[in-house]
Amino acid sequence: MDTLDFNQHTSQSYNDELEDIRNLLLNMGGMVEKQLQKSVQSLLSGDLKLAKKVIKKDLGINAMEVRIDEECTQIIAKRQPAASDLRLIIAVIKSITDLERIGDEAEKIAKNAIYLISKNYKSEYFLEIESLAILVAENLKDALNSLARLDVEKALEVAVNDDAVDKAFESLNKDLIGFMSKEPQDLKKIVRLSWSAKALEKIGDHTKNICEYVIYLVKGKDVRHLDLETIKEEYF
Amino acid sequence: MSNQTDKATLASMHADHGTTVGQPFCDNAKLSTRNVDVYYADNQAIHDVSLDIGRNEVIALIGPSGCGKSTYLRCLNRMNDTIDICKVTGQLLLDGQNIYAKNQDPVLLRARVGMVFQKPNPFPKSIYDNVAYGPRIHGLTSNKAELDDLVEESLIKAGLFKEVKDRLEAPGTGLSGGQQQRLCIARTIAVQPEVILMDEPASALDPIATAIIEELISELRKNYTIVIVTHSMQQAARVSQRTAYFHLGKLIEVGETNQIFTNPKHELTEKYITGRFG
Amino acid sequence: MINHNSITQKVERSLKKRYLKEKLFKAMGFASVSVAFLFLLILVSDITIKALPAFVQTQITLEIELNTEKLGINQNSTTVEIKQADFRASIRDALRKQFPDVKKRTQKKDLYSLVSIGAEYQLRDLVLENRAYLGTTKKLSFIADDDVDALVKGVIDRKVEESARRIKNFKLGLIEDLEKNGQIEKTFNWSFFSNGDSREPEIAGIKGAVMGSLYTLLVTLLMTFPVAVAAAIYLEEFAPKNRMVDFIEININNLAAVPSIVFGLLGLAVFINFFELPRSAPIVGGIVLSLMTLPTIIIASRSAIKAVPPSLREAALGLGASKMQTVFHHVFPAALPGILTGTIIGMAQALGETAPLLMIGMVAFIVDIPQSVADPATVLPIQVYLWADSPERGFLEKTSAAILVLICFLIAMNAIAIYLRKKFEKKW
Repeated sequence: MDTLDFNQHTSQSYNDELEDIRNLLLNMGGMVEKQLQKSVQSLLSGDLKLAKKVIKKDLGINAMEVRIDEECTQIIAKRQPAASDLRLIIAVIKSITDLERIGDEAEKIAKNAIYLISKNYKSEYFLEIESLAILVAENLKDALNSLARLDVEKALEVAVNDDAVDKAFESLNKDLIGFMSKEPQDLKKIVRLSWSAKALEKIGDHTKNICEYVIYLVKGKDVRHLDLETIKEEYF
Repeated sequence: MSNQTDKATLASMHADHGTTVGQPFCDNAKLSTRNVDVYYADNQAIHDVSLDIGRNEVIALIGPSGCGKSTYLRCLNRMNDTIDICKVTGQLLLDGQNIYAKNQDPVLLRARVGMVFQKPNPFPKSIYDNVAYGPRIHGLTSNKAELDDLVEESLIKAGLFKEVKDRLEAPGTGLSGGQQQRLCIARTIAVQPEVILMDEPASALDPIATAIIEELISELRKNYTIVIVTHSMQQAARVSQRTAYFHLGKLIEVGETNQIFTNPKHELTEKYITGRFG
Repeated sequence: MINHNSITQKVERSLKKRYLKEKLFKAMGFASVSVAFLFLLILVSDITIKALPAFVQTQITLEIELNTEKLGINQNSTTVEIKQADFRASIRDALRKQFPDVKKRTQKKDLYSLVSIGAEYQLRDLVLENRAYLGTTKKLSFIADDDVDALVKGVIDRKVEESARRIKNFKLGLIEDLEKNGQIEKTFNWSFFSNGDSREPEIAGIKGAVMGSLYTLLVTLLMTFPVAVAAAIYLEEFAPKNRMVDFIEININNLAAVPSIVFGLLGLAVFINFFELPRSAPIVGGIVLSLMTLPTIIIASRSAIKAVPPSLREAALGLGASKMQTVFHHVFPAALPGILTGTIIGMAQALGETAPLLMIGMVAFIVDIPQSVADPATVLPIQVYLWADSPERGFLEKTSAAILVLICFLIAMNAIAIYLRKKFEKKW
């Protein structure tokens, strides 16, 4: 039960279809991960070309979401999935929404980057943004790994780690607000920085959602809106 | 991780020992069975099944062919008595009375526990006579008018009256498959049983007729306890409150239908309902 | 990659062979059916052609003077008195009056033998019916003798040398005179269906045998049907499955294979010698035949009961019908067409049975038509046997006619079987 295997259906084509959407999901995850990394990089290194590329690529992610949605609909219509298969489909449908949002957030960061590059703006807070971005990217990577391996332990760990992201964002934001009053002439640019940090924080939240879907998929329990201690106690 | 593996091995051990996962027992049981074994000659068809069937609930028995679900069903009204080599042991209680007690008359039992079969099997008689047969042999009505009322009421309950009210004298075998099955249900409820056993009642019907029967089952639930054997998992999911999964003569898992079809506890149940058996 | 073209070619090649085989099989089947049908046609047409003359009877019209003084009776005489009167003389007088030249004794014998010896009884019966005829002179028709009959029908050839001819020139002359006068005519032979057996072919009839067969079958049906059906239902529905029942089953099947003459011996020993039932009577014949038919009907009934779908039994049992109710409300009615078919086939078999009846004396020569199951009687197949054994020429056609009647009976019984099956058959 705890090791899900989607490869043993009597119908081989059903196996193939499930395998297919899982691969698409992981592909999408990889694309989103790259988007995040590139958008942050474009911001930090002031790479205008890269930022524009990120914005362009978001269309691809949106298309990917539509495609996976379509395939899931087909499977539900044709196979009437039950139990773990059903949970897989639900988890996939939910996860791609979050991935798409992460893509949108990455696009926002890229847009902010374009603005900052146009103003030729650099700041000491770039470092803090970078460390927040590293934290978020690490979490996203782990979340996608846990999704790929259906590793609930990892998923829970990532969900727990999201607190650190939130905290890092809180402190960065506080600093940025202080910074704004100190240097009001750069207000517009600092707000852009703050937006980027907010985007990173949101990516963290979406990452956490994905982890919750992994737990739902493997354990069959909806752990959304529960605090982590309860989840740990009850389901592990 | 080790915690999980323990659980998995525990689950498989359960399977080996015939212990059922989930909630096989309930308060206010209409039918209560404990440690039921069924043998066909030397061949054991059912191994140590313990299951309660609650009042006014629809319980679905699912499982692959030859898993013993039909055999178990037929124990509940002693239809297995007609097979000479079949032997039933264990405790089966209907409202606390032993079904297999020496002084329990199978004819009386079958009047209390009605049965609907896989293939619609109306008698080669008129629609009216089909429904009136049970009440007639049991002497449930004292005159023709009462019998007429009972027939009409049963046909209405089975959702067939509108379609056949003008041709009650027409042969029951002339109806369509779905209508025949509803006629069989009307025939069964005309005896006013407490429990209705249904052995794949819609397996020979088209989707529309199936939907009508399923709707009917939900309706009947108000007044009867229903045990339904079905090969269609969607059907089990749609009509039942609880689902019991049989495998190789053992009751593997029983649980709320909602839970069984989204998150079964036992590996075998999972495999069966997701279509992982060859 | 599968080479579909080569597969198609292979299939095409094998197709020819397969279709050829199929055609061959069909042709063979058709041929065998045709041969069977041809033989049947030959048999039936041969019998029919041979039998046809039996349904026609030559009649001789004579002017009879029913002289009350000579006969010694009048219109007020009792039936017994009339029966004792000498009607033969009246007929002979009429013949002598027609041919006054015949004087020699041998010639007179020939003259008198123109009409059947049954003619006087014919006349007697006519007078009994119409006493007003007494004292009058009437033109009446009488059955001709079988030789005359044969000559008129052309069975005896008039052109053959006298020495090789059964009817000599003198008698031939008499017949031809009568023919010239229009006194000889051919009519439909009603008496064949209303008379009993006789030594004289021209007055021998089938009615005795028909009635005998009907009585025998009635006894057989009444004896077998309830017993066989009850046994079949018991064995199929109620009997426990154990060695005893298996043994009974085997014995029933064996009984069906016992030579029928053995049943005759049994009937002779048990029913006639031990129970002292009347010899030659349909009641004994019926009992013996019912023993023989019993296994046939049991086997047919059992397979009819077995063929009732189990779903029907389950339906009834599931509603709480008892075993008995299930069987008699549902299984038996559903099996009835099959049971009836089996019964009628058994009856048809009994109808055609000869050997066991020979043993119990139903082969006796019986003139009277049986009035009850206890009267001595014979049956149709035995009548055929008896007539086939008789030396008189006239019996040849009678034999064929009796066979034809027997076949008609069989066809009628099968038709009833089909009708009943269609009538009671219900779809489920």
